[in-house]
Amino acid sequence: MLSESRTNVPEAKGELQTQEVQKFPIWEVFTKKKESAVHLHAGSLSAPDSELAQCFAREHYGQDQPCVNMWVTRRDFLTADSGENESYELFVQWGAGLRYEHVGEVEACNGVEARDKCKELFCADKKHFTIWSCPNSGITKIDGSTNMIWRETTDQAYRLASGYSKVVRKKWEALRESKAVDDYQSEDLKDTY
Amino acid sequence: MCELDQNLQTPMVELLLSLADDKLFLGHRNSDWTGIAPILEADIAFSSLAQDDIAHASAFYELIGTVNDKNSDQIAFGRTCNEYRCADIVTKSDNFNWANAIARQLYCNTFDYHRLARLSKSNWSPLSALSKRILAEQTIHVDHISTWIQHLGNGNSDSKARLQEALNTFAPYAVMLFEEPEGLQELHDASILQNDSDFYTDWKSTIDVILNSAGVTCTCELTNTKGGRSGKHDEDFVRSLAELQEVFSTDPLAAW
Repeated sequence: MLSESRTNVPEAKGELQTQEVQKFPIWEVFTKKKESAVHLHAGSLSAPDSELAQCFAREHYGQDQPCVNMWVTRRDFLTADSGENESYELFVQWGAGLRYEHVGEVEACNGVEARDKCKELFCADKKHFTIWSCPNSGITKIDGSTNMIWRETTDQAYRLASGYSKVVRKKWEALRESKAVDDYQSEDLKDTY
Repeated sequence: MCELDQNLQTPMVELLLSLADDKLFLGHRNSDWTGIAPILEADIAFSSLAQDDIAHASAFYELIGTVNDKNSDQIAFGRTCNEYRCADIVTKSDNFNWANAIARQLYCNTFDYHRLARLSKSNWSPLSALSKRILAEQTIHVDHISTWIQHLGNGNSDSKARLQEALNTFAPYAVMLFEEPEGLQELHDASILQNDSDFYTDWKSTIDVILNSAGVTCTCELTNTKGGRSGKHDEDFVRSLAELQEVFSTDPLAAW
C-alpha cells in the first residue's frame, strides 16, 4: 500500500523542463570490485557536472556490489580524437556486448594516437571490438580505501540480489526453529479450521 | 568496558532510541521519493541513502536489544506513539518539495555526523565501536547533501529562493534535534559520555560553512521545548508511525 503522503503527491508543475535534463552530459562509470581486479565498465548516468556525477555514481554503481575503486568520466572524452599530450587510460571491449575492461595506460598526443598505441600494445594478436581512451585529466578517480565507497560497516546484504534471498531464507529458518512460531501456527490453524 | 551498570541501562536505551528512531523515520520519510524524485539519478541516490539510514537504525536497535533484551524488530515497530524518541523534523512533511527534502536532510545529516562523532568517544565500547563505524558512512551522507546545497544555492535565483525558504521552514524543527534524551546527565556523571557544551555550536558552524558556499543562511536558536525526545509528537509523526506499523501489526511474527 502507498504511504498516505504518496497518495497525495502534487501534480508536476513543469519546474524542471525535460529538455534541460536531456541536455545533461552522460558520464561513464568504471568500478573495481577488489584490489586484484581491473576496472570494468559499470554503466552510465546523466548529471549536470562532475560533482553530482560522482555523488550519483557512488550510490548507483558503488552500492550494488562491493567496490574498492571507482572512475568517473564524461562519455564524450572516451571517443574524442583530439586531446593534449598526456597519459591516457585505455579500455577495450573484447567482443560486441561485452563490458569495457581497463587494459593499461599510455602517453599520447591525442585520443587517436592513444587508441592506436592500445591496439599495438594491448591488443596485438587478440581480436577486439572497440577501444575507449580517456585522458587522465578527464577522469575522477575515487579511492575507496581513503574515501569510502562500498559500505561494509553495516549489513549490506539487502543491496545484493544474491544476498537478499539468503537473508530472507536465514530469517525464515531461524523463525521456523523457534517454538513461538509453532505455537503461533497451531493457534492460527485452530482459528482457521 | 562492555558491561553497563544496571542503573545506566534506562538512560542508555533512551539515548540509543533517540538516534535509532531519528534514522529509521528519516529513512522511511526519504523513501517516499523513490520513483518520483526530480531526476532519475537523484531518485536512485536518495533511495540508496535512505536504505543506509534504515540499516544504521537497525544496527542501533540491535545494540539496544543487547541492553534491554528485546528483539530489534519489536523495538523498531512495536511501540506506542509516546514511546518513540525521534525529533519530529525527521517526519515533518516535505510536501514533495525537493528543496524541503534537501533542507531536512542537511539539518539531520550534519546533526548525526556530530552526534556519532561524540558517541564514538564513549567509554562504553559497544557504543563507541558501532558509532565509529557508522560515522564513516555518515561522512558520505554529509558530502552528498553538501553537493546538493551548493547546486541549488548556486543554481539560479529561483532555486536559491526555494532553498532559502525551505531552510527557514525547517530551522525551528532542526533545533529540536538538540532536545536532550532523558537521563543524559547520568551518562555524563558516570563518564560514559563526555559532557560537551559545544555540540550545538559545532553543528551550527558546520552548516554555516556549507550554506555560505551556497550563498544561503540558516537562522535558528536553541530552545528548551519538550518534544519528540520526550515522546510528544506532532501529527506528521503520528501519520508516519501508522504507515510504518501497518505491515508489522498485521503479523508481528512474519519473516520479512
